[in-house]
Amino acid sequence: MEFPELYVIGQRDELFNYRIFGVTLLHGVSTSLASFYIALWAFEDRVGSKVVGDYESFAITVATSSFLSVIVEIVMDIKFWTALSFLVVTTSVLFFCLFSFLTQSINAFKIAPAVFCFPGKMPQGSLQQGLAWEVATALMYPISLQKIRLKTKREPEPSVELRAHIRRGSFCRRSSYAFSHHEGYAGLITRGDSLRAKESVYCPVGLFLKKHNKTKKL
Amino acid sequence: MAVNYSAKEEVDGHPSGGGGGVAGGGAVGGGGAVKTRKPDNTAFKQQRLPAWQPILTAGTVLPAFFVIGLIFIPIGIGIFVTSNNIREYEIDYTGTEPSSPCNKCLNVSWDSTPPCTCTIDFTLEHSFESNVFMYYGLSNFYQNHRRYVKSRDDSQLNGDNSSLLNPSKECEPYRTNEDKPIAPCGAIANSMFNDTLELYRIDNDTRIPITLIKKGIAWWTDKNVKFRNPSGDTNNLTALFQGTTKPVNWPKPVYMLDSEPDNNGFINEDFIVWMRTAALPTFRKLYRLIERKNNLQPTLQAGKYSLDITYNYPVHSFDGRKRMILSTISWMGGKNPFLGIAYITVGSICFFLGVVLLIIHHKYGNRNTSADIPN
Repeated sequence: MEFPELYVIGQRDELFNYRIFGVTLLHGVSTSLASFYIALWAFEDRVGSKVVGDYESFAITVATSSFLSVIVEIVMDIKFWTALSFLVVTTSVLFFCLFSFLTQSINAFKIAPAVFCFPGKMPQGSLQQGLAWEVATALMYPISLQKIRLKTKREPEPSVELRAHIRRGSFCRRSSYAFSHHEGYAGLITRGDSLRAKESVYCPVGLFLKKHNKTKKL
Repeated sequence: MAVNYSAKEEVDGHPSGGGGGVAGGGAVGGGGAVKTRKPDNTAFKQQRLPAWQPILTAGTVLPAFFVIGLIFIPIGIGIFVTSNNIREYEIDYTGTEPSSPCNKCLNVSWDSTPPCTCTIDFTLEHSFESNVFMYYGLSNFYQNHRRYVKSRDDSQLNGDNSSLLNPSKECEPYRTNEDKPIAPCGAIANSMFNDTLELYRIDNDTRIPITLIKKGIAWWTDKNVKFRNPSGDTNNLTALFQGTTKPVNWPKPVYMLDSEPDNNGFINEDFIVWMRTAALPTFRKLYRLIERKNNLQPTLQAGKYSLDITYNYPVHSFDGRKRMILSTISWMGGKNPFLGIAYITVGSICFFLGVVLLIIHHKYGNRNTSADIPN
């Protein structure tokens, strides 16, 4: 038990409790309802030049808008963007486009008409459906942004009492796995404290910088 | 936005170091070489990948909100104004009210000969410029019912000869009739809309017919790829459909839908438009086009018009309603105020939130930088 602060979060159920579950459930339900109903109202009794208010267009619009809402949510949630994160998100979007195109292509229809019953959909009506999903995701985006903004304002500075004190080892060492469970240097840097007062930076285990190696023996 | 680029450079490779690698060195067997199960010390496996951490500060979030607001509101206004400029006129001709001219056709059977006709006179207040689209609309008609949507045979409609004589099981109970396969099979085809609508302009007691164009109303991919007649001589469709029978509720078989060979059989455009199932119980489908004659005259002038209806399609039994709609279109489709309103709403919410956050930032945002840690 060298690092007791790692276990406190689990003991307190801070990351998954009834409240968080309820909020997540509500969020998912509201996103799905918004995705469906916005598409519904955009399509209601629509008059397209070739009547785009048909079953396929509606289904594809709802599916696309749900998918894009989820992608935007994930983008909002990822805090540390490695190359892998970028790759995965882009590949996800590309695969979606690719498979939409393939399943709606005319060749797929010729192979199995009962399964791939939406031939030639992509070129048609993409403008209207694009508008519809844009509105849906646009509604999600500012709400998420505001949530994040308020969260960054409300969180207090982490207290340092709970940090374990290193008794051995003369310089701070943490495995990066444990390190990744804390916030980065955001607070430190935006405060500007670390630039102003170098001597007073001691090294509790929570903060770790190779460069600022002036430690206080604890 | 401040970007924190942290290359985590942990050099600790000793197995006896910090919390991570202690358990890996479990000895297997007594005294021999200790097989460590610790993962390799690569950047990927030790989760030391360089990462980019976006930090949302007021300097990025506030402009973003304002920009989104400023982009969406004009788009919404543009869409709304465009939608309002679209002319639309709708006539409900179900005939449920006793005063309606079509009331006499309300309870007439679907296959009565001669068919019941009625005429409705109406007046257009404003003239309709540019191409006018004529739609028929149905209400309380659930073309999105699951069993209804499945009740078709796409390979039969694609011209496959084996499916023509042996339709798929999904079409039940509209698959065969008196031991002969039905072409086209299924409930969707069976319930095809078969009212005939004709438009006349009344000009000093003379009725001038308005040319209604019936080609070009279906999707190109539908007409040329998805729906194909059975292979053979296209001029003699009767022979191609030999061995099949017409759907139960149709007055005429499928090869007599139109006299022109490229609009007859499965590739009849009215049939194709009907087979494209609608998403909602209240829907409209394109019926005919009224093309603009020249740039000087409006397509439909303001004035008196008369609609002749051959009332074949019964909707009264399920409380459905039928209507005819005349509409112009724009670059974004037909009359759709919802999109414009939605864009304006989202844009103004964004703008308002931006203003609120700006106020919050101004009042409380400078608190952190004023504190100095004493030496």
